[in-house]
Amino acid sequence: MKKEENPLDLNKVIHERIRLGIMSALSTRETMTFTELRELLNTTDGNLSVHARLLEENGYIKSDKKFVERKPLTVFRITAPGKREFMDYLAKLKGIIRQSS
Amino acid sequence: MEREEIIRNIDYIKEIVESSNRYTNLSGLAGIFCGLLALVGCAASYFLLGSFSLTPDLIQAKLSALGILWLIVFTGALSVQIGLTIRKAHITGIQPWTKLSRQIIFALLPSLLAGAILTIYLFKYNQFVFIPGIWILLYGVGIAASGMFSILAVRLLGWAFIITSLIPLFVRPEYGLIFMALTFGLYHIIYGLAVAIKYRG
Repeated sequence: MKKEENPLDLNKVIHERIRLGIMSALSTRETMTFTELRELLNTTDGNLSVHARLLEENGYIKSDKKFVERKPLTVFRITAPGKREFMDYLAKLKGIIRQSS
Repeated sequence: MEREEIIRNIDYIKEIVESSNRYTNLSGLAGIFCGLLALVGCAASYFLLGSFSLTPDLIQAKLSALGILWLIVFTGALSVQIGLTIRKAHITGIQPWTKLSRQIIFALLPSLLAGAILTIYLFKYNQFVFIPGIWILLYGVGIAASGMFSILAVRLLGWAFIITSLIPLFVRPEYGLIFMALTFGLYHIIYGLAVAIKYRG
């Protein structure tokens, strides 16, 4: 039997809709605020928090909390390893498409 | 892994990357201010020259005053642009100096440099009348190039400058000042308003 690309081989941290969205957006814009990401990904506060935390725990993104005009503001930034993992993920998607065509 | 699912994922990435452009650090307010500043510069040039139609003799007579005037306008516009971009970045909490802003600036720089070189060249050969057209053209080229890293409004602004520059370059060089007011003044204001409304600030 031909060896198939194992679907589990895809980076599970990235392979989820919201997290994939966060990584795609941050790899383009480098930094975005919590509110901007929530609007862009059309999700809820809670949902974004959960997924962003998971990405942060894996070192793919960094968050920075500060106060601007007395309002709390969270800014997310992609890290160098995060960028690398995202590029790897894209390369794997491409590989899977190649194999299945 | 289904092929369809992968394709859906790729479409999703594409969609997010494209729409993340929506969040721009560009300040629309800065566009409006620069436009107004350019109008002031054109009005002041008009009062200096006493006429809208440029002739080499007329320009030569007021050369140093015009030079200083436009240097002030450029420095003012640049400071407003930098100041307001930093201010907007501060409000949104996003870093003003990112890879993206570097790309935008480095795409703009060569054509501005070319504009400065051609200005000196035209001075050398007493072809002052073409300076407005050259400024409009090369500024437009720079803006259109840097727009490749930014929102559509920037690219449109650049192309509007490029197309308009053909008139002062080929048809009516003596009315260069009016076309400066139209492009650097009015086009900037329209662009600034559009950006301010669409991207909040």
